[in-house]
Amino acid sequence: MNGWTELVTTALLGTDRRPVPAQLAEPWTRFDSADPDPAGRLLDLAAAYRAAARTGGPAPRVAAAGAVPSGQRDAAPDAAQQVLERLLLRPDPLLITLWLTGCADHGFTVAPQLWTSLADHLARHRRYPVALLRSAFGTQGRWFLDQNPRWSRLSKLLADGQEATEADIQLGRAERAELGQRRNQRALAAVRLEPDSDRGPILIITPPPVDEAMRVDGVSPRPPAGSRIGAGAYVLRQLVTAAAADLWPTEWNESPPQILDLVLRTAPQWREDLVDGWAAAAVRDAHAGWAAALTEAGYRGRQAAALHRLVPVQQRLAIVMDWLRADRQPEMILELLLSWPEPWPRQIWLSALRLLGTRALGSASVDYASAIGARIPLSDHDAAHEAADYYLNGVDRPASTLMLVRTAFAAVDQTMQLRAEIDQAFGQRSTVAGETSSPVAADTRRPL
Amino acid sequence: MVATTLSCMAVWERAGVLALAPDPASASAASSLATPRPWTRLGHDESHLWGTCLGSGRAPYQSVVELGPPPAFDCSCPSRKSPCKHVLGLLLLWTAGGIPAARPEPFAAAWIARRSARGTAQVDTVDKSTVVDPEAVQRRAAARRDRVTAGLDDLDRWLRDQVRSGLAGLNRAGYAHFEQVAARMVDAQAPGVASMLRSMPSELAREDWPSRLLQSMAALRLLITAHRRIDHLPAELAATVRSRIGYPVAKGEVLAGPPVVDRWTALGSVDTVEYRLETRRVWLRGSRSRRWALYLAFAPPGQRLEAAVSVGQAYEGALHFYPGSGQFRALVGQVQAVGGVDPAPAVDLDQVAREFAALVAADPWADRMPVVLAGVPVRPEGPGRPWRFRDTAGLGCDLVGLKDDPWPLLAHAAAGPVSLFGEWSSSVLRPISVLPDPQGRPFTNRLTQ
Repeated sequence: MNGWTELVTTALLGTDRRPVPAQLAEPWTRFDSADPDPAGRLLDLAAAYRAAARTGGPAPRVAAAGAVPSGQRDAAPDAAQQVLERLLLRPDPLLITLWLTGCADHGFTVAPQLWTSLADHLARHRRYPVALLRSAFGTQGRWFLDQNPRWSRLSKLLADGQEATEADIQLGRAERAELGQRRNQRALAAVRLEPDSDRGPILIITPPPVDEAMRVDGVSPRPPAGSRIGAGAYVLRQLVTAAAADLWPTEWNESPPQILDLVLRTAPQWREDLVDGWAAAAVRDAHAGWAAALTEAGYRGRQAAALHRLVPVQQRLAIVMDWLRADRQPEMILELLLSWPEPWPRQIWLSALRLLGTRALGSASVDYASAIGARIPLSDHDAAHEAADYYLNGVDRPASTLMLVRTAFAAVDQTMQLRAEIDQAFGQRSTVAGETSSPVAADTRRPL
Repeated sequence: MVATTLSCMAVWERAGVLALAPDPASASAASSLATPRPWTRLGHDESHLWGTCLGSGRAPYQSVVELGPPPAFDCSCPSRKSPCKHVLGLLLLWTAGGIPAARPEPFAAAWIARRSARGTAQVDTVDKSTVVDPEAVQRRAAARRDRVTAGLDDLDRWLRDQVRSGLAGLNRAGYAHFEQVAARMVDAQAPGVASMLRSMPSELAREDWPSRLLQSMAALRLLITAHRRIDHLPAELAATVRSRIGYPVAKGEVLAGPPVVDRWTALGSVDTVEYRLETRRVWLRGSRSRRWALYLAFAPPGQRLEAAVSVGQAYEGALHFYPGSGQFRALVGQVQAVGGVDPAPAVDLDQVAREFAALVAADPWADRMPVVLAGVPVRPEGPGRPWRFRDTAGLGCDLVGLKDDPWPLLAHAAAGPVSLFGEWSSSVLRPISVLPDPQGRPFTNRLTQ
């Protein structure tokens, strides 16, 4: 027992029960007290011990943590970081995506002081393009995500994104062709064209059970947990999605618009799965025929935006004009407008603002407004302001919608202001040390 | 980062403005008001800024700032936050050079005049109160010393009783056991001693509480002994003893002392609340003298904490130190904001140990010391284990006072060792801010709060 432990033990039990040691252990022998009272003597000795102990001994050695990867690209300029810091206080995925895009386009990374708040936000919101995030964090930022179990899902997603790309590259051309053939055959076996059938022109053969060969080719027997789709419909959807988009017009000798007409006479329980499958295949294969047919038919599923972008611009303009004349649902028209390639011409953004200012869009109007504000050319900011003023004040409307429209136009303005700020912030440095071009190609921006 | 100067007037750094924000939401809202668009009637003179801001109300809000130090502000908006987003936005716009020099608008001139009148009234009051009778002062001082002496004798008996009957079981005695004697020390005009007693119950939840409690009691015993011999102690140590016990030192007396003129940079602060008294301790470092200073600001319940200095800001001018050996505490004299935080030289843990030993030799009751350490944080070895900080020589210490895991600190250190400012206490470090360095890291404050 060393001197200090003896003193603490005596103090715990009390000097009435345990005497203060007469002779203290080394190196404390030089300490003593003139107080005749054992309690006072103990306190004096404790004071001397305390002084010696607080000066402390040498600090312990600590093993170094694992090596941090090198090669981090430069962080975005201070002004840009301040914008992101502000956005993260009230996160809006659209605005943050705008910032991340600007960051990637200029070849910068997010500064370390914002990694924690960005990672915490991303751990709760999944709708960001993986490639943008990989670029934003850089090598050291991704190392940082690995350190915290709270961000393991995010870290794995960013790591998986890389592996998937490499695996695709490794798959040979011949193997891909064989895989495509197998997928086409399975789809044709499950979905048949039988114009004379009593049960409708397109006949669905109950999807087969998923065998090992199908599994190897990527068909999953069960839908993801929590999804409302049945197992059979899920398999059917996968088979149709996996087949080439061109398979059906070629094999059935019917154009996509004709096939969609036939679907209207097909058993209703399969319609949505067939159409979703064709839409996904059309997006994957960039099939303009399917894209135009589905768009004109008013398809609004998950692939709608990507499909719209595949429709040739002149054809898209014609569809928009038809729909405007026909007073179709404003949401449909806006979604088609939002697919317009940038920079937006005046005719497009004016149409979008008019819909926002004159049609009833309800609470979704602010989301549409932010999306519109993200696309109007910044050089047209003042003109857009004037147009918004006109639609706000020059149109008769029920008083109850005035506040909603005002809020929507404010959201357009706010988003445009933010874009100007981001442009200015990133534009403060014209050259990028380390890398001279964006590490993110537009076609690799896959959503989470 | 160096502050710019507009018409003889030093402009603050952006970080210094944001440090005033009562919460992150205010800082965010202020950033969006830092453009000229919502503002009209903008202007500044040597020591004030003003402008009217179009908000959600019918009439524009009128905002005025007096730069101080300490800064003061007023805004006609209904926000209960102080400073509100309009005041912060006005300051941010000013830091960006967006406010022209002008003569005060009538609403600003009226507020400035009201403040000026109030200031004069306060000075008059002070002047009247400073007419004192030296004999009466001496009598009061002697009476106070008698009361303190009697109180400390009472405390000595109490300490002996604790040790005589044994400390076992005190971990279940609760706050009241210590509060009773602390209250007697307040009556005995020894508030510093009362504060030491009130901090004891917080030690009792720890595993090694007997050792910690005995150390705290030993510190009190040493203070009692020192007070009994105070007339024979060196003057500086005697001043330290008086300070620890809680003898008052008049601000005027401190300000009358010799000024220490330097470029003083506020590197970090810690806010605490004890008995509803809000306290902010701000650490400043002198660039030329390499001296540390501690500025304390207090806010009683219901009042706003007003500090004469803002973290992240450098000031050129004079500080006046309180008397006593090993004392950091100082009052702010005539200073002018001159810029942001510059890189500061860092030390290693060996050097820190030597400096703390020297501090404890000068002030045996010292419990914290400001340090700048270069190194990297190290994740805990397992659940329940602490985060540590590893200096560039490979020595380490535990990190304490963390509200949450210090991931932001780890992020800063991904590219290599950081210069970390914090409070050192015996063998542990409370991290407060990351200092800028030649690698381009920005100043980052409030790592633990």
